[in-house]
Amino acid sequence: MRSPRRDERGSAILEFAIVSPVLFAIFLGLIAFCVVIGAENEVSNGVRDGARLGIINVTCADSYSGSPNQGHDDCPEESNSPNYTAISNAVKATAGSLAHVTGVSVRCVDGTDTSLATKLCNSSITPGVDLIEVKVTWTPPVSSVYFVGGTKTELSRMLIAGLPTLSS
Amino acid sequence: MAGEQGAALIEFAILAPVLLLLVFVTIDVGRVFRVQEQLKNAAWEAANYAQYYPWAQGSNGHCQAPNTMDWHAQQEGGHTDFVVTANPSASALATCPTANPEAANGAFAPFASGNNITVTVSAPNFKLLTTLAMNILPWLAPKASVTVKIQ
Repeated sequence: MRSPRRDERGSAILEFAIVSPVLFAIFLGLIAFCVVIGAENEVSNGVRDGARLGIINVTCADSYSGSPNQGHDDCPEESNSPNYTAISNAVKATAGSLAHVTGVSVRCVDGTDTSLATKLCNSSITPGVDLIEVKVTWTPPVSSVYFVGGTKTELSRMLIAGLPTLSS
Repeated sequence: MAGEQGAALIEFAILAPVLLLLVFVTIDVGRVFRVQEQLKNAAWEAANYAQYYPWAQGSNGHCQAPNTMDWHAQQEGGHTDFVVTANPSASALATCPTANPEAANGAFAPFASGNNITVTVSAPNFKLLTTLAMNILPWLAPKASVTVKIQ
């Protein structure tokens, strides 16, 4: 006949075998969650770094998304290039280590009404009224079961530099 | 043997809520940090506007979007449910002028050039997973303030 002690030891090992996968799943899930939160913060900072560049260099701004841009005459450093990438580079410089940045689009926004209509980033821009918008699409670094359909977007809109004046 | 099994079950029943609470609190802390960051960004953008137009507050009732710091705060990250308050408040003003009166006196005295204005942004729609915690401890509700000098 077996002693009760042997029985107990066996059940402890069995219990650990049952519980440990659950515990590990929770533990790994928490780590994955933290990494995604960290990546989100990184993108949030990156998108504003891009917008900050945009508000002081607005006539160079709206070309990265591939749309035709009227402002390149004022953008000598890129000399009418359709690929003005300074804003995109600024975003990626900050948001590159945790998050996978899959796209950066930049546009100017009419600040005189609330519909957020697109405006060309050229001399028609009124500093202090119109906004610049930088939008980033990205995916979290953890391609795990915890985050299905991982593409996320993050955007920042900032007042284009200059003394603001009220519209109307 | 049968008695021991029951003891383990009871032990688990006692520990499970505690473990789950720990997990949810950990997740909530991360979420609060995230919203805090968004609120801070929104507050900076509102304050940037407020240093030139400190009275352009939604609570004024006369200043309408997009000519309010509220709107600029909300559009920064596209969070239209963010709520903006400012100190000094413009709620008592009867007008929304397009420029600060030269002699900032009367109701406009608090908005004189050189004064400070503090813009506070909160997210009333943000709910914790451990919702009860916010009911017991209201100061857990995330908010962010930025103070700038009126130009």
